[in-house]
Formats: sequence, structure tokens, C-alpha cells
Amino acid sequence: MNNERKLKLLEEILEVEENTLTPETILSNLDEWDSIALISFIALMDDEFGKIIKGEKVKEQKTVADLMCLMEE
Amino acid sequence: MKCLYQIADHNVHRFVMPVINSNMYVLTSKTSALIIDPHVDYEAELLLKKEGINDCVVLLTHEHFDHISGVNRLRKLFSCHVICTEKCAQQIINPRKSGAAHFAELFLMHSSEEQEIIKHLADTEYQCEADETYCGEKDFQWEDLKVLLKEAPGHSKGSQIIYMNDKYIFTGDSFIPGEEVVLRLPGSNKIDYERKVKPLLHTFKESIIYPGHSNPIYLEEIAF
Repeated sequence: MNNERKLKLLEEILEVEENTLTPETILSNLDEWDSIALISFIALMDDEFGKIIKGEKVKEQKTVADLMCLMEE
Repeated sequence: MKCLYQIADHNVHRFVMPVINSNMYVLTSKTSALIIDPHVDYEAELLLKKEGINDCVVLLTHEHFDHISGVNRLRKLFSCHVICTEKCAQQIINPRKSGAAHFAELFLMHSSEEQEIIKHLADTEYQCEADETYCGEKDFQWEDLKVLLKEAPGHSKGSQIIYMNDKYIFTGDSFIPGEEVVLRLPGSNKIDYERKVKPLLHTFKESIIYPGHSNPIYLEEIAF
């Protein structure tokens, strides 16, 4: 999956406008990065990538690029 | 436990799940109870035993863990008949679809005290089953109450709205007065909500709303 598609998926679960996220975006600066977004990311990983990922690991991530890395592993 | 209102001659008891504040409602009549969105609550069990309840009709407003987590416990204690939408039934058999698998993770950004409480409520492998399902609409009589169930997908795939005697409405998480409906969970669908649930909300005139979270209220009309 290319980076553009990953960003689009992240924008969907964070419910932010298209093209507002960049890899450098800091998650803690986003109001939308909350418990629901975290759960949605876990579900996204399960549905789209067939990976079960722990919430604690997701919570540790600092930037959008970090989330994109998880989508690659 | 709070006995808030009556529906016909039945007291409506509300039991609130800690931290997430999900509502379980219990209506009793002679030896039967109508229970909406059960969680495990020993005060509720005490009430049901004290009133000599043998049979429970259980309605699930939707498939999320905080609204189904007491089904299996109730089945151990009473004869239960669980009714929900067909889509809800498909989700509650899978902890990853009902959110049971990740329930505790929903609170990772909460205080450590709340996380500790949730740890005791969570069950990552929890699954339960329905006895009866429907698509579209279903009506039935419970004691002297006319019960109408309507599919209401949006907050989740398997959501339903429950009408009793036309004016008492159990909305689950599809409508919580004063709060924005959550439409960004896995399984949520904004388009479905706009098309299928919003038109139902217009019928909520002069009704008593029993939401999935927060206090029940009398609603004259909904303003959009």
C-alpha cells in the first residue's frame, strides 16, 4: 500500500479534511486523536492488514509517520 | 439503581455501567422482565430475584460490548430470550466485531483509576448469541406493552430503536439527547445514519427518550 493511500485511511478514521495530514503531523496536536481514533486504528489494522495490534503500542506512537510504519510492519 | 419512570404499570429501573455510563433498563411484571442492553450488575440481579422473575426478554439496541456484556450472566440465572437485528446477531458472536476484544483499550487515555475499574469489566473473548433476529421491523407484545423494533444502522451496523406504546423510545447510542452521535467507530456509517436514522428522529415528538447513555428525558421535539 502506498503512502498516499495510508494517509487517506488515517484521514478517514481521524475524520479530518482530505490532504490535512502529513507524515510529520504530531498526533498529540490533533483534537481528533482520541480513544475512538485509537480503537478505529486497531480495527483498521485488523480489517485492512490482518494484523492484531495492542492499544498500548498504538498509544506510544507520536506522529502520523509512526502510524504509517505500523501499517508496513 | 434508580426507578425513573413508569411505562404503563411497569417501573423502569436504570443500572449504569461504571466509567462508560452505559444504561441497562429493566422493566418487570409478575414473573417476567423486559431487559434492554444488559451488563453485569448485582443490584439488578437482586431486584430480579426479589421480584420472583423467571423469564427475561432481552433486547439489544446494538452490538457494542458495553450494551451486551450481561447477556451470558443473565442466561445463567434466568430463562432468557434475546432479540436483536440480524446484523447485530452477526457481530455479537465475534469479540472483534462487538468491540469486546478491545474494550479496555478504549480507556487507555483515561485515568489509571478508571482503567483499573474497566479492567474488571472487560472480557476480551466475550461473545453471546441472539435467540431471535429480524431485518427491517418487528413488533410484539410484552405483557400489556406494544413493542416495535426498527433497524437503525449508523452508529453501528446492528443498531435498532425500540418503541414501547409508541411514545417511550429506547434509542441506544443512535440518539443521546444533547450529545453528538458517534459515527466514527468501526462499523459506523454516516450515510446510513443520515438516510435511515435521521428520518426516525423526526417521529420522536412528545416522547420519553431512554438513551444508551445519559439520563432519560421527555422530548417535545427534536431540533436539527
